[in-house]
Amino acid sequence: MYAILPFAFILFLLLVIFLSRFFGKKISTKLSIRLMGVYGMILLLSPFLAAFATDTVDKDDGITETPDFYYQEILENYGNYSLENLQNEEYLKVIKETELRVSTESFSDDDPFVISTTGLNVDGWYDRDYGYTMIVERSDEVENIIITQFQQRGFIQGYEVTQGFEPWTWTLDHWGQGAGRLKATLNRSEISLFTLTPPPFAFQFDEGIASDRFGGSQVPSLNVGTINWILIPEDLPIRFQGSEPHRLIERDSGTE
Amino acid sequence: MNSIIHKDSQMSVAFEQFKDKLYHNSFAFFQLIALQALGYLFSFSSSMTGIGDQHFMLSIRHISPIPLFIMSVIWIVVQAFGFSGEKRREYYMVSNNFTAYFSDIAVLEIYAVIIGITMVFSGPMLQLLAGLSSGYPNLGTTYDSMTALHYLSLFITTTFYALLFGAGAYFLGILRSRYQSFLVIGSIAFILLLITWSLLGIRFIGPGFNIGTAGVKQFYVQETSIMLWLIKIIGSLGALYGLSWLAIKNLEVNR
Repeated sequence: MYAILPFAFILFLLLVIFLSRFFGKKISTKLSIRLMGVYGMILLLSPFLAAFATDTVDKDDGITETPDFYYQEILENYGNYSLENLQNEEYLKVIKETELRVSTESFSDDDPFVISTTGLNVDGWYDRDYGYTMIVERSDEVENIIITQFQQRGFIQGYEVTQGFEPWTWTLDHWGQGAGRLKATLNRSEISLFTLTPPPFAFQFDEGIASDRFGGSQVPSLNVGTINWILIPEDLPIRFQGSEPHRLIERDSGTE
Repeated sequence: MNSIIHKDSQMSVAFEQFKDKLYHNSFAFFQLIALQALGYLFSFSSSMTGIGDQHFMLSIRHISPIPLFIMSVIWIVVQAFGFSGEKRREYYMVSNNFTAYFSDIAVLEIYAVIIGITMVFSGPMLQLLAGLSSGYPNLGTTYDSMTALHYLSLFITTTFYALLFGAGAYFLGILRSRYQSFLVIGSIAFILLLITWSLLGIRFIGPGFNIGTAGVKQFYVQETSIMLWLIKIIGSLGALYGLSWLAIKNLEVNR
């Protein structure tokens, strides 16, 4: 990338020489000096304006960093957790709750209710920074399907990335008599942030900082995971479609 | 008119010329504003890092005023070329080589100081522009951790680096106005000399020996001791000024 800099430099040099030949006589001396005065005023005022106009991220000083791959820990020790536990968990954030009405009578063991995660394209996610977990819990306390989506809290330099996540969309398809399917759609989350870095010359004589600043821009490391905790009525027969078996836990609250 | 001016010393004539050049070349300020506006624009697209896949994308934009500095350097190079052109000197009736040289260099130094000042204020300015223009959250700036000494060193370093480019361009411009087309042959010869020197260096000293822009940049930028840095910078500036003076000394004015 830096290889094009000399060429760009020469190109701009020629452009400026050309343009100043072209415009040089049209702009008067007084106008130039006045413009420079205005520019100087703006520059001088910019520290004050910047203090009021910029909104930096409201940083939380009491951040406790989430342990790496915390969502997997929950997946492994799911027996110790309940939905109420997780809702009060400091490392997790509820980003969406969906309640879907389903009639238990329309399904039988031959024609079960389908929970589908096909089309999510989640192959090979285990190695990535972003993973997902689906926990299905049978409960006699609910009549409808309740899906609670948690997001593992992730921070980059004090900014909570979690708030920019798009939650999954869970929809209920109906076709024909009784047949039904719960389907997950994954929405793309795009989080853009910016940082301002001074030129390295600013730290040229600061030996302590100099070694850090010349390294260039660093790639952020972040692991975030989604947990979808699905509560279904106890007597609803279900079948799974398209999901990875070891990411999927079915438990019967009645037997525990 | 001439007789009055001739009573003055060369220095005071040079000072009058300096003021006159600063005023009559004020179109340069317009160029500076235009170029720095472009520089601010390029600063926003400087570099981006990110992680993600098809469902999740996290990108962090690193805004840095380096493009702004490059644009300012282009500005001072153009100005230095302009000053070293011989046509400008015909304008001054009582000009001689010394006053022309001295006033040119003084104007370039003022320009370099202007660049230094604009670079010091570029940080708050970028914060302001970034806050106004992009809807993205700001992760915070390293500018917040800069002390007054960092700002001072930013000012001094950018001023001297800009001046170094200005002096280099002025020297080249003087060579151009003195030797005309011989400059092209001379620069080709100089490049060939550098290449030969590098090849010989690699052959006899070692593979680490090389002359290139990266090496030159390292020589100035990766110096953390302020005394050594000042010696390097002032030595280089002195060499460039001295060479320019040698080239301009016997130059025929109003040829």
